[in-house]
Amino acid sequence: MASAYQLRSLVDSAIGSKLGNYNLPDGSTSPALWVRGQQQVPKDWTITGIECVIDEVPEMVNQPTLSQAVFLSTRWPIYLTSYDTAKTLAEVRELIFQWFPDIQDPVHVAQTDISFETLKVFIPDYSIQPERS
Amino acid sequence: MARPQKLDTSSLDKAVATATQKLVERLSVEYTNEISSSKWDWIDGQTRDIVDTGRLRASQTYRQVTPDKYEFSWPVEYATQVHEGAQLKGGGEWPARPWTRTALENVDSKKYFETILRRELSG
Repeated sequence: MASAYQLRSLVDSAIGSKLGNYNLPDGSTSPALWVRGQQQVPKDWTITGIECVIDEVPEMVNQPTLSQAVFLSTRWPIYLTSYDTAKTLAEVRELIFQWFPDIQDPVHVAQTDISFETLKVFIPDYSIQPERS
Repeated sequence: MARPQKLDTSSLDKAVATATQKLVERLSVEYTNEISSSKWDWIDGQTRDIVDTGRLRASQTYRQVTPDKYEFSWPVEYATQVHEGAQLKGGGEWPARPWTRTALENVDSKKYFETILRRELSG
């Protein structure tokens, strides 16, 4: 994977049909799938259903090797929130786990009386740079 | 042919157990420090600690799962929301305040463990 936008496309294929909508002030709607970086979701948009947010900048860790090779471990944080209190994340969770079986560190927080149900996962994206001669 | 001898690992086992216990105690202090630290971004634009009633901080417990495995927990109902952040039904959100992650970044666990282990093994 090269960018968050490529990941967005994959995520859209996996769970796009289950996501809700952003409701724009002009009455139009847009799928609730957002790449968060320089731009946040505008404050005057409302959300119905399930929202998926991908961080534009992934976490990156350089794992030492015994050679001069570089093993970069990159992983993309993805946040799912159900703004519909009658709809759980169970189906979306199952789908995303099927599409990305190597998902790491899922953190599921159930709905409470004050907060919505959320699920955070990391999708790993390995890259190996060979030794330079 | 030399007769095989059973290796006595009791000293090593004892040293590992002591080093593990000391590391757990060190991490316990660091987790509490992080919760008490006024470093966390809050919704008013200021920074503050993670202490309101003190229940979360006071709930910190650890238990030995296996001889070399310990488990920390904070058994209050809102601990995950505080750690991971939350979208609030009344609007707005709580920012994530991942005190376990920052504590683990602050402590060089491998070095700490090795130092104690060496000290224990050298008597």
